[in-house]
Amino acid sequence: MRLQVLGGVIAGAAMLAAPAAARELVFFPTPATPLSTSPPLTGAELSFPNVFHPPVESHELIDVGLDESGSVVGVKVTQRLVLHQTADYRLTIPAPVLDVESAAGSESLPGQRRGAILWQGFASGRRILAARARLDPRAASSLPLRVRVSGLRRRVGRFDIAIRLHNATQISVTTFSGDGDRPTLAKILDTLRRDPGGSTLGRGTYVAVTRLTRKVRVTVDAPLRVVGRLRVGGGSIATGKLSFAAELGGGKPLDRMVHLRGDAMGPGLPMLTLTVEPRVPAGELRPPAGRTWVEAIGLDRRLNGRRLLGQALEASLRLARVRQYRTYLANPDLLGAATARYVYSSAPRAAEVRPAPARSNGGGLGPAVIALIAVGAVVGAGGLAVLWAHS
Amino acid sequence: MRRSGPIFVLWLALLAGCGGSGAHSEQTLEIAVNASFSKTPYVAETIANGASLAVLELEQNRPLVIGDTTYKLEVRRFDTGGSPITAVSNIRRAVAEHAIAILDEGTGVGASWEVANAAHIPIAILYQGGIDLVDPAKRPNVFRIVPTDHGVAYRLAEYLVPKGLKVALLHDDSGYGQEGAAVLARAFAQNPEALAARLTLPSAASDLAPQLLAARRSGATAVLVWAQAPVIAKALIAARSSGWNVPFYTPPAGADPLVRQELADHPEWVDGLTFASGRLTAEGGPVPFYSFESKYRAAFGVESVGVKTKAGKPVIQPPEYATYSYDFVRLLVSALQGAGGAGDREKVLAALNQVTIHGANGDERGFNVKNHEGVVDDDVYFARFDDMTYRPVKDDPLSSTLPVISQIQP
Amino acid sequence: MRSAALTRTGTAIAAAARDARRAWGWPAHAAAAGVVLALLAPLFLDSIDVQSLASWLYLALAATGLGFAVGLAGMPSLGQGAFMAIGAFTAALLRTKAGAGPFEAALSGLVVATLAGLVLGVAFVRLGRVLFAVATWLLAWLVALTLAAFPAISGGAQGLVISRGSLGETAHYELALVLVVISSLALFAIARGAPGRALSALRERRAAALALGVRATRLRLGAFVGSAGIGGLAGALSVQLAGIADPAGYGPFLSFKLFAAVLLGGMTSAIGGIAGLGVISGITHLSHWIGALEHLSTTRFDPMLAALLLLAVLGLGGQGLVPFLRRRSWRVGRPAAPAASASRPAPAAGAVLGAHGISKSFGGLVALADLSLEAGPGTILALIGPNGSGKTTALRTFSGTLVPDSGRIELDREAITEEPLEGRVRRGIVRTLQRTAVFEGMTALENVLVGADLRRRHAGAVRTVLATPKSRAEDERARAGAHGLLEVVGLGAAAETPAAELSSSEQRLVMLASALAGSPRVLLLDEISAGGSAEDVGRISRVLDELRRSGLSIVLVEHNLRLVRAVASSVIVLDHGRVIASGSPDAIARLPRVREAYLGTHRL
Repeated sequence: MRLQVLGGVIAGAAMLAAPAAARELVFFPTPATPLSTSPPLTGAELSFPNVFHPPVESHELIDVGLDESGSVVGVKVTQRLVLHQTADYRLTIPAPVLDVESAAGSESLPGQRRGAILWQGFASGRRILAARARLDPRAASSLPLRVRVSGLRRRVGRFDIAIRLHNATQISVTTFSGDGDRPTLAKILDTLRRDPGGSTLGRGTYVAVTRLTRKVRVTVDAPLRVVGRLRVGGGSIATGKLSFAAELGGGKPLDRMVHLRGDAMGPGLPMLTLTVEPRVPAGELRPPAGRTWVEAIGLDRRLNGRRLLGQALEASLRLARVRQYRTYLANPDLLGAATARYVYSSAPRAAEVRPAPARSNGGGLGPAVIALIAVGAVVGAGGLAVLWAHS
Repeated sequence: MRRSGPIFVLWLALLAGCGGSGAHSEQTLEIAVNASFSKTPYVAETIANGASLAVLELEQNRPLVIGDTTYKLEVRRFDTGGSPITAVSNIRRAVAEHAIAILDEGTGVGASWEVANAAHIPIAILYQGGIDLVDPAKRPNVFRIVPTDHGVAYRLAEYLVPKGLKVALLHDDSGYGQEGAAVLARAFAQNPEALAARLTLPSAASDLAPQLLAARRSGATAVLVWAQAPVIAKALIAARSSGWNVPFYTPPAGADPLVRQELADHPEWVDGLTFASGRLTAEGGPVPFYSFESKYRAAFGVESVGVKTKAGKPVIQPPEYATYSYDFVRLLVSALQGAGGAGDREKVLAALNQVTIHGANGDERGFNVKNHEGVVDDDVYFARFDDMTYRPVKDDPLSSTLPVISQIQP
Repeated sequence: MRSAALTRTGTAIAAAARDARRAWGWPAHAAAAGVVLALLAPLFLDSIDVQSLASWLYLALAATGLGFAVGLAGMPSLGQGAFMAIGAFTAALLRTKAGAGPFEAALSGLVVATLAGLVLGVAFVRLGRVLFAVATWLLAWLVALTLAAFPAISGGAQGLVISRGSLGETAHYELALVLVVISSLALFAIARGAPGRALSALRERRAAALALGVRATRLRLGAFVGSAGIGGLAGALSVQLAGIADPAGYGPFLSFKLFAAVLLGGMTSAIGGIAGLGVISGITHLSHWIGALEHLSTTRFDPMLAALLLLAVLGLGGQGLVPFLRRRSWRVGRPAAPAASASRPAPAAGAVLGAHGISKSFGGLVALADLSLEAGPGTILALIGPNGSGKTTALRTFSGTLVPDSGRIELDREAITEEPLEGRVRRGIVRTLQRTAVFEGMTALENVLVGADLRRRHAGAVRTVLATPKSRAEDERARAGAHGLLEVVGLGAAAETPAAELSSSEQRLVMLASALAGSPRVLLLDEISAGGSAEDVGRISRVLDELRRSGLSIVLVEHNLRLVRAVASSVIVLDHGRVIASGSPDAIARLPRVREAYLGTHRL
């Protein structure tokens, strides 16, 4: 709020002072600005607005099941919302949910509707709402990482598993360029560095820009840190290169090929686990000089308005993208803290269910049995009649 | 000849227009109210009245038109006489009459739900709070809008334990009392030191002095009575008449007018009686409830408690149970709209899990696939009597946010 | 041997069919038509109505079962609801907890209720009517309170939920109808057969029935157990139809309602319970319908209505609806009973009855003091004396009705002093009562049959219901014998006359015939000629003489000294319990002290 006012004042002053270049106040996107419709996942439309008192924290663990080739076979999310309020709450979390249940530590039970997870209750001070949801496989299209695997099969002896990783978070965004107001931009960068989540900046702020060029397309992505590990199940031991760590995006390549090689001592099923976390690009937010950006613009004359604007925009848009992937399921508080960890793991193949051998006569009593019963009934009746006649 | 040709063509066109497939139809849908009108008329009549009010409002405000059908809702009463067998038999009859929904007090639902489920007819329980009655997975057609026994018991434990009281748990020997005792035992299981005694109150006894004396001797500093209203009244009389002035806590039955009627000669004995119940208002204030109440009074009159305050003002009872049946009928209407009409009952039943309305208390009310309880456990609040009327307590986070509902006859 | 068995079977079936055709009158036609229509009813009714009817039929089954205890045995059982509850909850618990099927559960309910009836009946049937009613009423309360006190067993206010299983409402309806028909027919058959006669006799005049050898305890217990079992079966089946076992549904009011139904319909009628229940249900439905018109709930008036109806029945004589209607129709076109042939059963050989030093006091009053006598085959020993001399007391000690304070009683030199009444009757010591005691609800023939049934071997309840060939043949023989005995006492033409319509002396003759029907070896007659005309006394004299010549031992207590002089072999004179004289009639007549003590101005 303060920055907006400041921005407005500065813009006004600049308009009065600067005779030549036209200054425009342009909306500056913050990390809370969504760059695409998903993530967070969409689902049902809200029939009533959410009711809660901010802040609300969201912490998610997304379990992605993979088959041997790396294709997604299932997505489950455990979302833990933390409310800090003494008031009613009614939350609708859109998601293509197939089933939901309460997760460990939850102090309430989630509800489920078509395309949504529901929460309703009264929180007195602090309340934890934890749900574990099984999602429609369509949700896989919003996952940050695509995986292709080859060689992941049961074997004894030498193995070479190739894993192709692709950061799927890149997106093309329409933004603007120009000469931005240096002090404002420096403050924005310092704020982003201090609060990458964007809650301080809020839903957006304004920057005075001269020589504005609109509709500039830029591509941004969310940097991902990927840690992979291979285990062999069934008590078998494997040796060799069984783990790796990689950074994808954020200036580094979006794709990476990793090989895991070694020896498997037993016929156990190999299980691959990839832990993926969207990472704040701390390096981008570090000032080239001084301790803060405000100091830096005084020390480094190369940090002109155009460069600063580009840098701030890129950082903010990247943080926005990171924030999107930190809210795989929506946090009702758009400015609330959010974390997400994606765990991709190769799902064990379901045991084959052999169909039971078909019965020869499709069940029920056969005609022979019925005939036997009928004969028995007749004989029984006859016997009773004889008994009766002699009593 | 020249004029008759065009006229003839016009006539044919009119005929063609009249014989189209878009003919509008009307259908009457029966809402069955299955309750004990003969044994517990207060509860049964209130449930029926709430439903009737919702139907009346629908008729007065705008007709329910879905597609090319105008639906008229009709409330039909079935008396269970307190017998689950009669209750089941009534359900069979309602199913045979193609009822669109059944509002039930709760008796016999264990057997009747299957009968209704086969016809995809929802049953809404509007009085009994036993936890086993509702299970969305096993009984997909059973819903409830009333505080659950589980919710009430756990909220009572949550409220009482931090006070450091030694509570004597008293329950009557009715099914309600025994089920309540079981759920209270679970609620207090984590804090057994909070309990001083557990005693059974015989419903048929005219004097409960021995039981209250036993409770007193156990060192209890508070009494929690889970029983029907007459037994609560007797317990309170037994305690107060012997000079034992410890605080009394009860489930919603404590708010029953009968308790105050029984203690009309000693109104001071009612002071301090605290009961747990479902909230009548939401955070937004009492206006939605007052609006409902005035509509209810206009239709059915004021429900007098039969006692007066110290200032001589007659006390009235807010129509709590009526709000639940009123809300359910409105949810049903919403579900009908969501399902595109009453033709496919399975769709209507499924739609009940997807709709939300603003309830009579101003709160949002709805069900979902995982939860068929229209009153969440959190919505149980506490109110304390003073001068024959009650107000929300201040030492509970939820209750302290709730406004006071006027209970004086206007 | 196999072909002989089959031939016999065929012959028996043919004979039974003939008998059935002969007995098939218009009431049977009407009943059969009604049953057929009732069986077809589900084709025309909707499922709700079929369900209601099936439920009502199960209640009718319980009421019919109650008819065994109340109607047949005259035991005012107010506990039938308790047995329904026992059957219902046995079935419900087995279905819900043990996963039993519907038929196993129903059979188990029947068995448990029957056992409960047996255990309780052993104590209850020995009680008088008032205490019996109280005991069964307490049982009804006990069961209801037990169910309420243990909701874990009974399901509490919600009841125990039972899935219906494979039986739909139509199957229940047909099953209930068949069971009602079978139980009604069984009740009808037993009422008309030997067990029914015996129970009816017990109900009317217990002392007279016991004197004729009716086994009171065994018969009453059988009736009570049968009633309990049928009630339990009705409960076990109805609970599965309802799908829920509600403890509150088996309270004391249910027992009261069933009892009221049986009384209202007529406890002596096999269909009395059904008719009474129909009236109660009809009036209840009417009141509910009227209540519905006025938007009033009238369910709470049901107990009051049942009570009012019961009071009305009791106030109007207590006979019930069906007997009332039957009395009307009795006079209208009822087929006449076929004439039965008469034959005289061969009298049994007489036995020696010996009494040695018999003494009996009642408080301070000495009724008998040191009485010794012997009555042998082919003799008539007369006991005479003024009123209060101990004559009847002596007969009562000989028959086993009273236990002497001291002394010994022997039959054919075998001590029988400790043998109770029932045993002595079986040994052949039969007594007629001092007061006129016929079973007024029966005909003269049926009165005699009560005595004859003592010696029957194939007259049990099961054989009676199944109308087995041996049972029917024995029944025919008994009837022929009874006719013969009535001929002997000069009442052959009055065989079908209700005993209540006979004169006092004729009734005493019926008592004599009843006593003779049991083929006694020692006949104890107490003032058999009381109130009789000279002709009657003459007839009695001839009969006694004939009996004496046939070898029967007779002890005759009489005030009619002409009769004594005519038939007695020897005479013992009692005064204040002591023998003051004994000898031939002529010798006794000459003794002054006898004349003084007894004869006074009378001349022997």
